[in-house]
Amino acid sequence: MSTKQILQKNAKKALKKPTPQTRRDFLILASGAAGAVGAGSFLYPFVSSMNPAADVAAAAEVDVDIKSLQLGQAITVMWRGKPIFIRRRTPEEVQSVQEKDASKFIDPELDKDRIQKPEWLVVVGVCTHLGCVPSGQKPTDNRGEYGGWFCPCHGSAYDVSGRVRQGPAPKNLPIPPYMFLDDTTLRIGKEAPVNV
Amino acid sequence: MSKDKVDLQPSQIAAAKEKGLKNWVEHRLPIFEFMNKELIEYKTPKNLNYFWNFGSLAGITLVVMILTGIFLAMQHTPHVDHAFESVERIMREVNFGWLLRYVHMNGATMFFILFTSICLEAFIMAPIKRPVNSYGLWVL
Repeated sequence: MSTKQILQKNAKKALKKPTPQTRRDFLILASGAAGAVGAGSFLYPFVSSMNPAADVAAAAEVDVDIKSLQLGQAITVMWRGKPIFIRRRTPEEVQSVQEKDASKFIDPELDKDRIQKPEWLVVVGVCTHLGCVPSGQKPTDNRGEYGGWFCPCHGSAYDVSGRVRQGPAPKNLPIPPYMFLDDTTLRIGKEAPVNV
Repeated sequence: MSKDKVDLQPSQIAAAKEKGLKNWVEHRLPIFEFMNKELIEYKTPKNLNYFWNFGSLAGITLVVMILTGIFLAMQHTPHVDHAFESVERIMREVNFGWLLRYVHMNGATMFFILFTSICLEAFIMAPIKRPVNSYGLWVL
């Protein structure tokens, strides 16, 4: 075997051998990981500064005194820039939305899934069609065919459970997170803690 | 190659023939070749000294100043009646607003120090480089 053949054989062997992990691989990985952690902790304050500031977060909850509301009355409060309809429903109104089957509705949902206390309905008062504020907060307002709210823009009608029953609106009026602090105070913006 | 096609760098053509995420990026935007060229292959004089750090330090400070400046401008109100209130809000209410503002303040000082050092370097180095040029001393 000539020297050239031996050299070629060794070269082929060296090519077949898997490259071992070197100190350089370790250093590249370690400095890359440290750099990623550094870049992340550098960027975190920038991203965080775009989140709601402390004064905005503090205004995220609104406490409402509902003591003076009589049966059948409704009030509007502002929460995070949106009107919230709070309505104290009469027993007849509650009775009118207690149907067992809601599958024929535009957005099927039962009344009992939308309330915490049957007397009190709390919904976001923005029409789900194009964002008008429906009328019906005063007894003298046009409340539409179903006795809840009527949107003057395109004629969507909501019942006293805030569900859309007629018109172009695709969804029921959404329910904001809320909880009863006591019998006369409502907190909008926070769910009651679940008792296990 | 027809006229409407973009001319590719040799590294982009090589990357197009290989597989993997790095080659996929390199084929479309040759940043790895760019970094390799600028940070590794680029020739430097062998009499480098610590004065040469100030250029990249000034560049990093410039990037930090632009970033913090943009994010501060998002929260600032440029109006004579509301500017002071908005700065107080940045310091107290905005998440990490105090950090962004202090980094921006100290970054300005840092930038000034670095720029002064670069000028100092030119003044000191100019008379001892060949061909000898002592205009820096004249400025001093």
